Amino acid sequence: MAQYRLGKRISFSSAEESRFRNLFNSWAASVPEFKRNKLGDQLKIVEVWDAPLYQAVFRTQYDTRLLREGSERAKGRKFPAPTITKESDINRWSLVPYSSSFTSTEGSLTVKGSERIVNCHTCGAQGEMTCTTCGGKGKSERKVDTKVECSICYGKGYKTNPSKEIVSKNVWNYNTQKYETKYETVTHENRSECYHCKGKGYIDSFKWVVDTCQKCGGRGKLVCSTCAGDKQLMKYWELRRTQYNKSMSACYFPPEVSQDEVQKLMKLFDNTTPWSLVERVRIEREEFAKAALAERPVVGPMLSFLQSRVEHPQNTAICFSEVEVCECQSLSVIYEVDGERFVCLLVGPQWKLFTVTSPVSKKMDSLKEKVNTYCRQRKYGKAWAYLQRVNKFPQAGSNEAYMQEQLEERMAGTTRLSSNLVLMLCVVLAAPVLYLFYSNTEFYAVWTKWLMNKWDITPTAFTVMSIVIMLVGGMVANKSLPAFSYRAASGVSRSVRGAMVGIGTFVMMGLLAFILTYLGVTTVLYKLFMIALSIVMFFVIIIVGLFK
Amino acid sequence: MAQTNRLKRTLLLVGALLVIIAVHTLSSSMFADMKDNNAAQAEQAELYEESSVATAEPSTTEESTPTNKESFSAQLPTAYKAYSIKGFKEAWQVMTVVAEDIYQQELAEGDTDDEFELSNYIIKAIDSSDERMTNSVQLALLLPLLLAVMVVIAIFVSIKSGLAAIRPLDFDNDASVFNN
Repeated sequence: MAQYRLGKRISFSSAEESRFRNLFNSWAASVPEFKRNKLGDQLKIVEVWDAPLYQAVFRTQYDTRLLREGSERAKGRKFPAPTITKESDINRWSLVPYSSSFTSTEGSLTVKGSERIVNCHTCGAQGEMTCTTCGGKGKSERKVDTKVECSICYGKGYKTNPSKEIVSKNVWNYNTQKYETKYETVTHENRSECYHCKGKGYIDSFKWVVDTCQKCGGRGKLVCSTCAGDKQLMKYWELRRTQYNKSMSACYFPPEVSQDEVQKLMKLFDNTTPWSLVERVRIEREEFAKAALAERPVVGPMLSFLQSRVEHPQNTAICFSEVEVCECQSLSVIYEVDGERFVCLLVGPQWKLFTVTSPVSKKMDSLKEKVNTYCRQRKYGKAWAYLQRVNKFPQAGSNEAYMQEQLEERMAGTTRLSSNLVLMLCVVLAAPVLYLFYSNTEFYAVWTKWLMNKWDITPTAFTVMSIVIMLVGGMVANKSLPAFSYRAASGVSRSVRGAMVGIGTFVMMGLLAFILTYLGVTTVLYKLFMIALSIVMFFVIIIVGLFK
Repeated sequence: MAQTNRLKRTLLLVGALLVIIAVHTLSSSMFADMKDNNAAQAEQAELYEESSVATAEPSTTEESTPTNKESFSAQLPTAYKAYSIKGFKEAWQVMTVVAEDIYQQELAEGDTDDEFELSNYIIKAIDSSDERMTNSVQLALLLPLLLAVMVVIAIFVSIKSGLAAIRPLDFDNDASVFNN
């Protein structure tokens, strides 16, 4: 059996102690928010343990086997009498050997001795079945478009309404050598388009035509789709097989490291962590008892835990399992700072420092607690200020970044409110100036003046539209505020910055409104607004009138 | 990023405005030159009365410009009085009188025989070219309404902002707690 080491207490040599303290000083100096750069020199080493770390990977190969009955065309084949007629005759686990290596495949195979010829169940060994289109009659009706002569105009496309007119004309009489007036009756047809057929002379219609069935050619029968005319089928048992593998892993840490910290430390290990293989155990099928994993010293409980988590799905057998245990050299140092004890790990021969608990993490935890407290009190500015300090610690991660995002969004609310209120105030103060400017100036584009005259647009309309553009545009622009305006802990500071942003937004929107008015866009918008208002008022009046 | 975008947008608008001012000034001066040339030609070709009118026109144009400037700067200080209730009441009085005059005129012309209702004649009075409906009167009618609308919007925005602020923070379904 492989050698597993329990932790044993050791002492640092002076060189090792010096190395450790320098390492700790470097680490403490790298944390910006932590002011004790010489923490390594200030701490008191209480205990040092040679405490190796162990990691186990438990990998299991599975084989799922299902039986099903299949059938296919006989194609004139002959088989001897089947030795397997029902599912209970088949031992699916002995048909094919288990895989001896890790693999992931899917497939199926026919169970030998189960093939047999039977009569086709679809056509009853006739080889033919009734045609589904004509129902066996051999004939089918189909719709044909026709034209029927219009019964009103009899195919002419028009109706006549004859009228007579008596026409006079002068005719030369050779006998009397004079012009004589002769009267004739002329009949006018007066055609008018037939209202029934719209002048076409026919009406579109359809008729049913009985025809030979296209599908069966009049036979009323089709070749059986199941046996393709063979009248017989080959039936057999089929084994469907799926092979796959699953892994689980666990770590053993020295008892000084609490379970809460183990998960955090696991995330910090990467490809550079110097794991070395201690043991590889192969367990055939489910012979776990034979492997006696739980009896191993130090890692026994860990391996036992992994073994208990091995799955046993339905219709699935375990082919084999492989357990790999690796060791990583590590020293566990218990030290004291200001009367409080902390733990750190020095992993590998290079002594990579993992501060499991430290005054730094304690400081960070206290800052986090303050953030939580202020968040509960809805003092977002103060919570944000403390969160800035938390984010300076190297341990800060995506969770802290998300929290900062949420807090800043809340803080931006103050800035946005202040900005919008100042914007409205500026609009109120600038309204008279705007009105007087539009009343007294001729500063419009040529086409704008033409539109003003054509649609009778007054300075009041320009003022109102400019105010609307400034307000709406300003509030939309204030949805995305510059970062400097809301990244301040104090609410007063955020309000003042918001006011500055509001003034800036007002200037920007004012320029925009002025340019749009010059170009005539405001004129067009005003006209569209009045048309929309008229339509709405029209419907309102109708609805009110209906209810009265 | 938002700050840089805002700055860029403002500079773009300022640039566009300068271009418009330049184009407008240029086109106005060109148009004015063309007008002067035409006037000079008319003065040479036509009789005494037409040339005197043509020479009179530029002088009236020059005289009108200082008047416009004076009226603007003179109106500006008094324009803010339009926000007062007194200014609004006075303007309303003027508008009512103009509306009544319009009604009397319509009655005389036979365009209406209904009784006088102020609500039917407000828009007509404001839109009329009556001398009494000066800029200050129109301002005094418009601005208090604007102020009232702003107050309503401000209240609505404040309430909305307040409600958003008191909503609890949601950090991954675990309000305001660090997940260790």
